[in-house]
Amino acid sequence: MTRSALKIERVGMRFGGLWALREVSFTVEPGTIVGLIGPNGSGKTTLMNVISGVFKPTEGSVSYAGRQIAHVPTYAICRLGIARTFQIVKPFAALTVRENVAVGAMFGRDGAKRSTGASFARAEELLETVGLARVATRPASELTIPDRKRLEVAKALALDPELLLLDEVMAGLNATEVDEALDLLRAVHARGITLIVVEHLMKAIVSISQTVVVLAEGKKIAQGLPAEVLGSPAVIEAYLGARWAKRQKQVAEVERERESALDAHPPETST
Amino acid sequence: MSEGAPLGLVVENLCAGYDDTQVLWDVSLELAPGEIVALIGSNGAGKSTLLGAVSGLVRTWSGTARAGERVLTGLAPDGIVTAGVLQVPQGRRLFGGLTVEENLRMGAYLRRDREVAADLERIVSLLPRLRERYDFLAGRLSGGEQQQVAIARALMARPRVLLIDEMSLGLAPVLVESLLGLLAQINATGVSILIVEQDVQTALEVSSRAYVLETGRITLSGPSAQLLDDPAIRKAYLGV
Amino acid sequence: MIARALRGLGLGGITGNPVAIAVVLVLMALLLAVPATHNDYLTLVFRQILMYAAMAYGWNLIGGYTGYVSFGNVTFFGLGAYCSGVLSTHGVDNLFADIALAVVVNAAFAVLMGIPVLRLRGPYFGIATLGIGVAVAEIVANFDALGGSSGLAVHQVDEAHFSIYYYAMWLVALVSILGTFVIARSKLGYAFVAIRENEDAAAALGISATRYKITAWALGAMMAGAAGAIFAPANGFIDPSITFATDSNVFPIVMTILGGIGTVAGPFIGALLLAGVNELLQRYFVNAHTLFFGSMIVLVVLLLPRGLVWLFGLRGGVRGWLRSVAAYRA
Repeated sequence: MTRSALKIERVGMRFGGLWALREVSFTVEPGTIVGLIGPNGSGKTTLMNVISGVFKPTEGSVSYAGRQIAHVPTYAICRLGIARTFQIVKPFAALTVRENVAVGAMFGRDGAKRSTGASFARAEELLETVGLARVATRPASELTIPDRKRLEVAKALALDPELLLLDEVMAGLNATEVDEALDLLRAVHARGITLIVVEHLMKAIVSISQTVVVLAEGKKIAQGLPAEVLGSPAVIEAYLGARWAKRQKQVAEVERERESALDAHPPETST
Repeated sequence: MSEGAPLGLVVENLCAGYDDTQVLWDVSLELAPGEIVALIGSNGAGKSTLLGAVSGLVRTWSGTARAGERVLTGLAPDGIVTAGVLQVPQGRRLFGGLTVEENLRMGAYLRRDREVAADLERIVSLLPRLRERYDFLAGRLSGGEQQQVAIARALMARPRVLLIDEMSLGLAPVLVESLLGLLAQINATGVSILIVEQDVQTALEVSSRAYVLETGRITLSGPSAQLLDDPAIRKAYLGV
Repeated sequence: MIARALRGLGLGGITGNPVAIAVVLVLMALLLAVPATHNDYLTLVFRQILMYAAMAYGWNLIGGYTGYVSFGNVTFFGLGAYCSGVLSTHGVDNLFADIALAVVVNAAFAVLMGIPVLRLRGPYFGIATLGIGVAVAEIVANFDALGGSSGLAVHQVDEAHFSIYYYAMWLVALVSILGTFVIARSKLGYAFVAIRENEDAAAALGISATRYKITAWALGAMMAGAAGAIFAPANGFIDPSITFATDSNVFPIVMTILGGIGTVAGPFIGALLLAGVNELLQRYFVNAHTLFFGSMIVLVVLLLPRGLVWLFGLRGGVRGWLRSVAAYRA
C-alpha cells in the first residue's frame, strides 16, 4: 500500500460572517495516529468535513499524496484512499449489517474490480475484524450503539482506505466499550492505516495518539506529544478559560515567590 | 421578578441519556433556595444533558429532580415551566425571525395573569440595550445582545429557578462580566440560579458553590472559592 | 422452506420476499393465456393491469428503491403515448418503432429534467415533479401539431391482430419485472437503496448520488414510456386529459406502496389487487373508485407503510407487524 502524507495548509472555512476555521496548518505523516481535540465550537468536525469533501474550504488547501483534494466531491474522496466515520452514525437501516459493509466494498477504492459476490465476501472478512460477525444478517436498525459504532468503522474499512478519519467514535461508550474501541483502532492501525481521531475523551486521546493537534475557536493552538500538549498553557486556557488560566499563573507566581523567599531566609528552627 | 418564596432544586441519582447511550450516571446535586450554584466540566461531560433532563427535554432513565416539594421528573416541559423552572439554552435559541419584543412576549406564553406588560417594562428598564433594539429582529442582534434577550425571555415567565447553559460561549470577557452582574441582580430578587459553564472563572466567580461534571459523573464539589484553586479541576477537564 | 430454497438461488435481500417473486412469475405465466379466452372485456382489464404494473415498476425504481417520491411520472407515460401518436400522424404504424422512440425520448427527458430536479430533496422534489407533469400536459394541450386539447387519433391494427397490444404490454411488464430483479441484485440496486437510506453516508462510501438518481429515474421513465407507447394505439385515441390523467399518476404510486415498496414483487401485486378491485367497483359503483383510492392511501400509510410483500416477510405474526409499523413511524 503506498503511504502518503495529508497536508493541511492554511485552511480557512467561513460560514456567512463566522470563520469556523482560520489558518489551520499541519501535516499528518503516513502510518501515524493523530489525535484532534478542542473545546466546543473549535472547528474539529468542520475540519473533518473539509478533508472529506463535504465542504470546500474558503481559503487554503488540502493535499494528499501530493494531490490537491480540497475540491474533490465527497463521493470521490474514497477513491483517493481516504475514509471517514460520522459522529452521528449513519447506518443504512433497512439493509442488513453485512449489506451495509458490502456497499462500501462495492463502491470504494477497489470497488470497481469487485463483483457483488466478492463485495459480500469482503464484508464478511471485515465483520470478523470488527467483531460484528455474530449480527451479520440482522438489519442495521437493530444494533446497539457500540455495535453501530463498529459498523461505521467496518463500512469505512470496506473502502480500503490508507487514511481513516474517526469522528467521535467513542461518544456514548462506557469504560469497557472504550477500551474495546481503542483495541480495534490499534488493530486497524497495525494494518498500516493512518488514523486521525477526533475525540472529547481525553483518556482515549492520550492513550492512542502519537501526536495531538489542538484547535480552539477555529485556530490551531498546539501540536505535539499528548502529555506535553495537554499540559501547555495555551490548551489549558482554551479548555478552562483564559481568566482562570491567568489566575492560576498568578497563584503559581505568588507561590514561587513565597518559596524562594523561604529559601533565602529559612525560618529559625528551635533546637 | 420572582413569585413567592425562593425555590430550590434537588437532583438525586439522575441517570439519563439519548436512545441507548447513557450520558449521566447517578448525578446528584443541590441548589438551595436563593443560591447561585455552578456546574462546570469539559465539553462532552453531559452538562447540557443534565439541564435537559431537569427541563424535561431529555428523557430521565432513573432518579429524580425536584423543585422544592414538586417532582419535576416525568412532567412535560411546559409543566416544568409552570413549576417555575426555566432554562436559558445553550446558543441562546432565540426566535430569529421575531423581534426582540415578540421574543420577550413568547417568554410569557404560558402566563394567564395581567401583569405581563408590567414585567416587560420592568425587564426592559433593567436592560436598556433591549429597549433600543425593541423592534429589531432577534436574529440580527450581536451575541451579547442575544444573550440578554435570552435571559430576559426566561425572566418573562417569572422563574423561581433559572438554569443557564453556557452563557459565556462566544462572548467577549467584558460582556460576560456585565451579564454576571445581571445574574447577581436577578438572584437578589430571589431567583435561584444554576449556571452551567465550560469557563471555570466565570462560573466560580458568580457562584457560592460548584460541582464538577466529568464524563457524566460528579467528581468534585465544594465552595467555589476553594475549588477555584483546586488542581483537580484541570485534571477533570484534561485528564492530566 | 421454499423461501430458503429460493434464497439459495440468490433471491431475497433487497429484491424482497422470494416467494412473492415466484408467485408473480407464475401469475405472469397464467396471464399469457388471457387473449385465448377471446373475452374482450377480460383482455382489456388485464391489459390495463399490465400497463399499471409497468408504470408502477417505473415508479418503484425512483420512489421505492431510491426514495425520491416522484409525483410526475405520468409525464413519461404521456410522452410515450404521444410518441406513438406522432409516429402515427406521420404514417409510421409500427409498434416496435413506437416503443423504441418512447424509450429513447423518455430516457433523454428524464436525464435532462433530472439534472436540476434531482438536486432537490423530499417534498421539494415531489412538488417539482408535479409541476413538470402539469407543465408538459399544458404544453401538449397547446401544441396544435400534437392535436392540442382535442387530441390525436392513433392508428390501430384490425380486430384480428388486436391481441398484439396485449402481448406487447405483457412483454413490457415482464421486462420491467425482470429488469427490476436484475437491478436489485446488482450494485445499481444497492446504490439506490443506500441513497434512500442515507444519502450522505452513501456519498461517503463512494456513490455519486446524482448519477445514480438520474439513472433510476431514467430507467423508470423507460418502463412507463413503453407502456404509454402501447396504450396509444391500443386505445386508438389520445388527448392530454387521458394521457396525463391524475389517475395514471397516482395509481402506480399507491399500487407500489400497497404491494411492497422497493421490492420486485410489490408493484405487480399492488397493480393486480388495486386495478382488479377498481374494475369491480366501477362496474357496480361508478364514482366510488376515487373514494376507494383515497381510503386505500390512508390505510396503507397507517397500517402498511412498506406494503404487503414486506408484511409477508415478517416473522412474529401480528405482533411483529405491529412492531414494524411502530418502528417505521418512529
